[in-house]
Order: sequence, then structure tokens, then C-alpha cells
Amino acid sequence: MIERSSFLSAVAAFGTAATLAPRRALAADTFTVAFIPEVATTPSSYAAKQPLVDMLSRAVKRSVKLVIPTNYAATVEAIGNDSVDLAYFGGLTYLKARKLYGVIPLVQREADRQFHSLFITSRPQIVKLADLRGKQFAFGDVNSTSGHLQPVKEMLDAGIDPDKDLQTRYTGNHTATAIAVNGGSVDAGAIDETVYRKLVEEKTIDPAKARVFFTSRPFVDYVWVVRKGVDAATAEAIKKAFLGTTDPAVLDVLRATKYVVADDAEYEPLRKVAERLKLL
Amino acid sequence: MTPGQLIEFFREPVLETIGITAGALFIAVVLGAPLGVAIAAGGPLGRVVNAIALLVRAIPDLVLAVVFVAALGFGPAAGTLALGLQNAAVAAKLFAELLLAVRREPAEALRASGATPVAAFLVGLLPTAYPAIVGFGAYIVDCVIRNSVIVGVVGAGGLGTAILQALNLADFRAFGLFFAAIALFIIIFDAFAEWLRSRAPAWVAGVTLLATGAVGVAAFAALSSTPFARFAQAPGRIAHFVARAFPPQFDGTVVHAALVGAQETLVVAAVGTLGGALLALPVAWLIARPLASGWMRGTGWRPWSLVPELIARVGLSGLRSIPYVAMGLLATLVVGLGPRAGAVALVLITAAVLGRLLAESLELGPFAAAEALVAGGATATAGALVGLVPDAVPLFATHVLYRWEYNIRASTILGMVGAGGLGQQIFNAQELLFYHQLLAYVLVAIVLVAVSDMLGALVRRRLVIDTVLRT
Repeated sequence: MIERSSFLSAVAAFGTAATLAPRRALAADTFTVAFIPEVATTPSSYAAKQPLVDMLSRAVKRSVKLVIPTNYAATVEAIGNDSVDLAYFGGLTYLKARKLYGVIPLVQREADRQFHSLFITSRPQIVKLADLRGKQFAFGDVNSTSGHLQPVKEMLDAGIDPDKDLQTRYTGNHTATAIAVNGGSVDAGAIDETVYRKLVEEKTIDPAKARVFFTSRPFVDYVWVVRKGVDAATAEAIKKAFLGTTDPAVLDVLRATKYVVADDAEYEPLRKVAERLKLL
Repeated sequence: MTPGQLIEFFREPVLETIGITAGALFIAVVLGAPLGVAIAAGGPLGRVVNAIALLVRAIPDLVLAVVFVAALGFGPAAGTLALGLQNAAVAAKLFAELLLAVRREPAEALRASGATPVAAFLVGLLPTAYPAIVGFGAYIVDCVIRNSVIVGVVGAGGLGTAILQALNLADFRAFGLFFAAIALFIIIFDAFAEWLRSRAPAWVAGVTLLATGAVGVAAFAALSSTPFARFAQAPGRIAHFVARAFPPQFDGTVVHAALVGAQETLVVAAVGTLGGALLALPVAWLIARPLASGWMRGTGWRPWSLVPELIARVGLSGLRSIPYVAMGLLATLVVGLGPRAGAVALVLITAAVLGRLLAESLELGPFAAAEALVAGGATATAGALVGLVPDAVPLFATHVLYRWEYNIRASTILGMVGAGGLGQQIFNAQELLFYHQLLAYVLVAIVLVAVSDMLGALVRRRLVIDTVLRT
């Protein structure tokens, strides 16, 4: 946040080099944290993430800058060229960042070990995966684990080839999928379970209209990772901070109940699926 | 919301938009204008510059933004540079076309009588082109503000990002507020540009450019998140990033997807351009000042005749305030996912942009022929149709042809929101970090853009020559 606001205040009071110099010195030692667009937010909700930022700032003993880019690949590239230190990735994005830049997994929400994709529809005649044949189907982002990778696997396991047996579209994100299904502009779609519940709770969608007709098998999804060059002590401090937190303000930022240790081995099954589907 | 909360809500995105827009705009103009002159001058240098500008324009914004993230890391610097560079290429092309479309006789006469090329340009060409240049400048500002969506990709903010994320979260109240903010921005800027074009002394334009530059440079200087060392490393990192994409992956799957995508893109762009141009005609008629204000009727100014003009103007400004991606999202909400949504979005965007540009072409006159016709007993409408519209045709045709090329590129942006086409393939390959595939799709896009550019140049040349022969 420090850097963000220094950019802003500098724009507001441009030309006053005196105010810029000390801020710039501070910024050199900033720890940068990136979310992926899965948890996209409006600018005002940077404030809602402040408890998490404060916790991390205490852990790494530096000022923390939070960035929320709207693009998966940009985030991976940024952690690859050291401009991001800590990032929150979905399962597939993690696998890519691991393969390309050797990022190190730290912690994840308890729920991330047993995550589910939901298949939703507004059509009464769709009650099982086989009913999707010939229908219009919405995936979220192509790089999403719960919005694309796992749903494709479930379809293939059920004997449906999404490339041949149905018309598929990418909406770009889970909320857009939910709205497309709810409004009936596609026949069905696949969505992250936590996003679905949140949208129902907020009454953005009607669970009677956008009804769940199939739940995927559990898979491992989101994870907090540090880039390769982050020193072990800092990584350990971040891990401890997450594992030790019981502060609801921190947990609520990502709708977590508890954080647990994450490691690369648990992603082996997902890695195999991603490779088989040529998504890795 | 209390006024305090409202200010808090808008403060960050508005300031960021101002900083990013000014920075990108300055880069666009300072880099784009000389490049445009070089293109218009022709010769080997002109052709090389033209090819480079075409290449940069054909690379989708998103891909360019990711390249700059790879080069500079997250932050406003990467966004500003990507935005500035892309729009410099747009400005170069527009500026070149404009220089080719204006009357060159005075400049040629000056050259023949021994003036230096620079003097001939400054005295013979620039004054004639000035109002249109300001119009183009305003158009570039529009583009920059709208396209500032891509800086969200690189972790910076701004109104463009905010409006997109509000839509992604289905937060229509926030969408409305941000939309209103951008619309206000654009309406104020339009009024300013109008004043600049018609009444303000020429030095104001220079001062405006310098002020923009000052804000842009200050914003850039404040980009504390990008250490200077990174800028020094940037060329190497860009080269490395591009090298990673070689060789392009032209296997069976990619070629098939590219062909299907290219076909969808061509259809979407054609429908978008034609539909938009047709929709633009009546709107431009309403907006063009000599027609709208009753001036052509010889009765002077009538207050009520401004009502349709105002409605049309505000409507266009509103439409132009919606970033492409947001327009695509809105279209998918209405007509569902797929190319149809892309076409609907493009028709609206194109109508908004062309409506304004056509109106400006009409306002440039010359009015002598129309006035003579009206004096000789023709109705105002007939006088304008016969005496004024034909003169605006070459310039308008330039705009339409340019939009055609632009819409091919725009449909790559719309791919982000499930609007199909080559854009969808580019977006997916980019998201999956499949850079060999990405390069293959981008090469196909470059070919599409280059071919439509060449066709456009051919048609435009014919149009201009025809007009010269007629006069």
C-alpha cells in the first residue's frame, strides 16, 4: 500500500521532489504480495485486505505492497522476474509457476486440500453430466483449476469430450459464469464452490435458477507461494504467521477457517491431469 | 453515500487514471507525431516505420502489457509504457493518414518556390491540418482512457480497471459510479477539445501538450516501484521474452483453431464496422455543428435545434466511456456468449467513435458550395448533402477504413470476455503461458491486420485521387 499511495500522492503533488525522495528510499525494501484475479476486487476492497497485509508486514518486518492484477499469466511472469515476492495462486497457475520459475509452496486454506467444482444449470432437463451433450457450456478462465481443468477431467471421465460433444465458451471468471447460467444465456457451466456460495449469499444468483447438478471429486487447489529467491527465514516467518492466525479479520479476507502447510507432493495428481489435458 | 465516502471511493482510481493517461498520452504524441510525418513522407524510411507501427498495433494490448511486466515487473510503469507505445503506433498511423488527406497544394507550392521541407510543413500544411489534428488528439485521449483497462493486468489501477472489476463482480452500482466518472472525464475533455479546435488560440494546444507532458513525467518519476536498474535491463528482458516464444507452434490443432478464429474475427469486425458506420451517419448529421445549429438554414442560431445535438453528443460520450472489455461483458449479458456479443459490442463502439469523427469531418467544410446551393434555392438538407457531404467523404472513408483495421484488433480484446474469434485463442494461449502457440496466433493476427491495412490504403488512395480529380 505504501508504494501505491506514494505514486498517487506524487501524481497529486507532482514536482515536489522533496516529498518523493524519502518515500522512494523506503520503497526499495518493500515486500510485494500478489493475488490472482480469481479473487478480483474493486479498489475499495484493498482496505478489506488490510488485516492480512498488516499480518504479513509484521511477519516479514517490512512494508508490504499488495497488488491485485487482472491476469494470471502476468502474475506468473511477475513472480518470475522478482517483482512479486509472495503470491496466492490457483492449482493450475501454481503448477505453471513451479515448472517455469520454481516457486515454493507455503500454506493453503484447509478447504483447498479438498476443493470442489460445481456444475450448475438453469435447464430442468439437465440432471447429469451425460445430459450436457449438444448443449452450450461455460467454463471460467482457461487457466482456472475449478473453472476449467477439473471440470474437463470430470467430463472426460464421464465419457464426454468437451471439444466434440458440446459447445464450450470461456467467460473469463467465475462470477461471469454464474451470471451467464443464471440468466440462461448458456445451458450450463462450471464454477468454484466458494464463489458460488458467496454469490448465492449475496443474492447475485438464485440457487433455484442456477442449480447445482453435479459436484466434482475433491482436488487440491489454491496455495500461497514465495518466489525462489526469498530467504528461508522470511518464508518460515510467513508460514508461521498464516498457521498461527485465528484473527477472523485475516481469515475472512479469503473466506478461510484455518491455514495448513502446503507442499508440492500433494499437487502430483493434479499435475498428471494437467499434463494429460495438455494444459501444462 | 456521503460526499466524503464518494471522494474516498473515487480518489485513487481517478488520480491513477490521470497519471497513467497523461504519461501514456505524452509518449503517444511525442513518439507518434514524428513517426506519422515519416510515414506520410514515404520513401524507404517511411515504409519501415509504417511496418513497425503496424506490427505494434497488431499485437493485442494484453500481450504487450505482459511483455512489459516481464520487462519491468508489476506497476504503473509497465502499464504506462505499454499503453503509450501502443497508442504511439495508433497516433503515427492517424497522423500520417491525416497529412495525406488534407490539401497539400499550399505546401507543394511553397516547396516549389524554394522553401525547406520543414518550413513548407509548418506553414503550408500544419495550419490546414490543425483542427483535424486536435480532433485526432482528442480521439487518442479517448483511446487511452478506455484502453487503460489493460493496466489492471499489470497490477496498477485506474478507472478502466475499476469498471471492469465492478462488472466482473456483478457490482452494478459500482459499475454505474465508475462509468459516470469516466463519462464525465470524457465529456469535459470533449468540450475542451471542441474549444481548442474552434476558438482557442493555437498556443493553447502547445501549452496543453506541455502540461500533459509535465504531469506524465511527474507521474513517471513517481513510479517508485520500478527501480531504475529495471529500465536498464528492460531491453534484454524483452528480447528474452520474445525469444522464449520462438519458434511459433504451427501444428494441426493451432492452425485449425487459428483459421476458425480468424474467420470469426473477420465476420465480427466486418459487421462491427459496417453496422457502426451506418449507425454513425444519422448521429453525425445530428451532431455536426453547421447542420445541427440551423446555420445551414440561414436562420442563425435556434435554441431548440441544440436539443437533439446535445442528446446525441452525450449519448456518444457515454458509449465512448465504456472500455471495450466492459462493453463486451455487457453485450454477453444481453445476447449471450460468443461472436454475436462481440459484433454487438463492436457496432456500438464503432458507431460512437465514427459518429464523432464523421461530424468533425463535416464541420471541416468547406461550406462555399453548400451555401451557394442554398442561396440558389436548394433546401438546407439538399444543400448539405450535395455541397458538403461529398467533401467529407475521403476523410470519413479514411476513418471507416481505419476502424475496420482497428476492429480486427479490437475483436482480439473482446476475446477476453468469451466473445470468440482469434482474440479468444490469443487470450487463452497467453493465459496458459503457451508462448509458442501465442506467437503463432499473434502472427495470424498481424497478417490479418496487415492485409486489411493494405486494402485500406489502396481504397483510400483511390478515394483521395478521385476527389483531387473532381476539384
